[in-house]
Amino acid sequence: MKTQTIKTQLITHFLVFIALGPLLVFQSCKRDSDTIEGPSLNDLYGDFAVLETLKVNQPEVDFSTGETVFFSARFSKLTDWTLTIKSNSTSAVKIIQGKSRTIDQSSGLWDGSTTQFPSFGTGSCTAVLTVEADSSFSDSVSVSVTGSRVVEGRLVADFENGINPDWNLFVQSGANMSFTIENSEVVPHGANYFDMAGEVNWDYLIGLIDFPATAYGANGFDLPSNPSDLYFNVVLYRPDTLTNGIVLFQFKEDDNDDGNFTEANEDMYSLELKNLDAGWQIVSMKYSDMIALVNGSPSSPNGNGQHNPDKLHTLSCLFLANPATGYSKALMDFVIFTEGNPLSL
Amino acid sequence: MIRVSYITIAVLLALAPNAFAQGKKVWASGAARSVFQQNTIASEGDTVTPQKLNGGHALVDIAFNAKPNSKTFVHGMVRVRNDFGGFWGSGITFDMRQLYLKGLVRDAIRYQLGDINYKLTPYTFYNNLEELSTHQSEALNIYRELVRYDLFYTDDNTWRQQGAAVDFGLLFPKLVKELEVNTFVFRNRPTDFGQQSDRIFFGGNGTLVQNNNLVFGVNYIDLMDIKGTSRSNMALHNPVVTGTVNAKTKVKSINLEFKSESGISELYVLNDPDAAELRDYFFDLDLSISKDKKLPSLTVNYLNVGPQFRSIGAQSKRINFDALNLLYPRYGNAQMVRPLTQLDMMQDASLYQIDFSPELQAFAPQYDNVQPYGKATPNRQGFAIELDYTSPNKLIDIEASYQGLSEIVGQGVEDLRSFSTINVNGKFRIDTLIPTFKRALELSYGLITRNTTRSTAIAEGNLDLTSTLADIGIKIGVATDFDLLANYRMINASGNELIGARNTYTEIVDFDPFQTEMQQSILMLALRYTFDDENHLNIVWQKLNYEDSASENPSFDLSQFGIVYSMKF
Repeated sequence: MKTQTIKTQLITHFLVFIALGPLLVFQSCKRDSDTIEGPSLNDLYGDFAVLETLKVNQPEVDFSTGETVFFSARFSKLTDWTLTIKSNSTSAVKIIQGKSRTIDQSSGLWDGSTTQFPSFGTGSCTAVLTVEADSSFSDSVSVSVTGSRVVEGRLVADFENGINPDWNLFVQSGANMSFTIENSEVVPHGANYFDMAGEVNWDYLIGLIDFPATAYGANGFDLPSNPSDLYFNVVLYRPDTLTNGIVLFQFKEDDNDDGNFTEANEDMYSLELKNLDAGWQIVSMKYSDMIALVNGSPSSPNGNGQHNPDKLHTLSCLFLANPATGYSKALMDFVIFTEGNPLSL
Repeated sequence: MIRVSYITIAVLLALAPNAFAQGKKVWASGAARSVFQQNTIASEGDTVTPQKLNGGHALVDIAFNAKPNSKTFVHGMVRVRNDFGGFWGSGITFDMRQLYLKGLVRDAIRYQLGDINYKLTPYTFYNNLEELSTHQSEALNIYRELVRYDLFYTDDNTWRQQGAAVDFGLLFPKLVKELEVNTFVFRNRPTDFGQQSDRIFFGGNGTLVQNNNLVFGVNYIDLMDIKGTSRSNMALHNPVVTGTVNAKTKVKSINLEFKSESGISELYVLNDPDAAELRDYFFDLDLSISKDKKLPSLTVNYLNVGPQFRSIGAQSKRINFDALNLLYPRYGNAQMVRPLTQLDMMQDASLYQIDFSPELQAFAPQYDNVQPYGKATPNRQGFAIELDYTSPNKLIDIEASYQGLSEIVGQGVEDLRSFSTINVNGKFRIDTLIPTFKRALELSYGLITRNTTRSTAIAEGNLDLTSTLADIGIKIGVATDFDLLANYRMINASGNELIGARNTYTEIVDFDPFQTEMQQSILMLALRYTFDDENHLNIVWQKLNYEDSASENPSFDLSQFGIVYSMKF
């Protein structure tokens, strides 16, 4: 009888043990998902409210020294927001967008760059915040720019000091020809840009400008050897009504280091730009992505077949148009090579 | 000393259904059926949809069974089907329905190759019942059994797979009575030699039988893609490991049985930077108390299944709720997609699937919002209590249960959904009260009410969805071998839900509002003639009414007259 009781107790204890075992083991585990599953209903359906109004972390900023400024705000729910910074003296515009509950140093940072040209100069600016969740909401704050942003890179041409006499300029004798430095339109960077325009009814070529390495001193363009980390950048403008212009950049390399470029046995890579958007825009391309072109079609380069930016002999810019299409025009500014990242103005 | 046990090949012999075939080395078996249906749909103002549709088919499944020696069995089954309306060979299809080989090695290791029905546990490898099928009267089973036969759904919740399985057992002289080991590997999906790799499903279990009252088990499964079988280097993995305990004891004539299963799962995709890595655990504890057959048995259950618990072999659904009905897929002048009703779920085999889905598939909250993926439904915790009673004279058979669950982690908000299910079903064998009445006289009934609620500060997040299923059926033996079957079943669903929209990695990325005011009912009358247990002729009439005032779908009635003859040989 006693043996039976002990056995029963043992079984009971064993049952309790195996019953509670999993509970003890798993209750000590912490689940990965301790918050909520899926998107917040507050974000999907909640009312929008501004918990912290728009602020700027400093009233003045000097972008020329590498300084930055950031804006901050906080909302009651996740929303798409747009921060539009406008110069009070020019038409420069910077747009910063995001989707979050807070705008902070990571999402609301401004380094002095531009979304809509011209670039920001010194002077006061106004930042306006709008949100998708409430179209009637708007908030603004002022910030003063005391120094313009400086772009690091190997500058080829910004046309601020006229035409370099070492550049080679060729212009056809067509109608309404213009290969000159101008400043009557919006200037994306600095005070001047280069105007390429004209009508040549017997040839595609309207005009060209060569930038030989020798125009830049003993070290030439002074470009690095790694083509995968180097970007060619140019700011171009297409008028609203003219779509026939073709801008062709040719990168002529001195593969054999003889001080000359020989088209028959040295590499020439090209960047052909057609159908540009209307207005000013930055065009950037990694040097290693350039291809050789013959009459606009890809072909094999004639030299060593390797991208050697450190052997760049001459950069040529040709402005072309189908002779049957009549007058054509494009504006150019700020031709520059950058390392690591494409140009941001 | 461990000695290798003898594992019987009775299973092999049991597959020889024809007693007259015993002793033969080659024999035939199979099944045949013929179905004819006349359908009529009526929807107010519908002048586009053809009102009447007639159709049917006859088919024969012929199996060739061979036993080349006493330890090897080969089975191959061919299906010949002819849809009515195809004459002189047109419309006839020939398919290989199943093919397998099984046998015994050295009287100890049992194996099977080819088509295999297999299952492990409800959290690892398990074919959960489809919606609305937890209890159905005999009348409703006439068509459902045809679908289940076609899809290889058997009542023991196995999945039909293709591959190999090996089982063996070891007997021990002391301490431990027996160790049973079952292993399998199935090819779950073939490669397309492009971006889709071969997918295999493998695993097994080991069961340690301490004695008749104490059994331990370990289960392991993994669904995985085989890298190198396609151009994709991504590979899905879903390993699940669980442990089980089954203990029985008797305390003062009270029988106690404790069952538990607990385990962990992972779901990840190698070389896919966008894929989520999901890892979670579950436990399921079950205590049954019974005394003798004069008193009801009581079962209490507690389960906790984590929100990131993923087990594709146990969470894949039978019904594809994104599929279109075969019968009147569109209706109304706008030719809207006809909603999936209880009639379609009973008899439309095209809605069902035999493949696993790595995604948590769509479900129908109006039919089951509590555990749409069976016991392995993620993000559930709570208790259940169940009473079962069958009177000694078989007059009363009743099963009643209550389940109260909640989420573990809120969806979209921290507030949790609460779920409840009340289930009562059973049967009255009235014929037991009339000794002179020698034929069947049975009344069956069922009631299930499911409710989902959530209160939260966001108005759109407040949820209240109730669905109720009630059915009553009767079986009257009108003459020898002639039974009259009747059934009425109604399903009402009312309220709202926010259904989680999941990405391909089963994460919730949005919520789709769901609103229903559904009322549907089905009335079925059938006359059955029974030739023998496997041979029936049924003449069936049924009418379905469907209405959901919260949806844009117009209400409709669907009536159907059918003749169903089925046999197995």
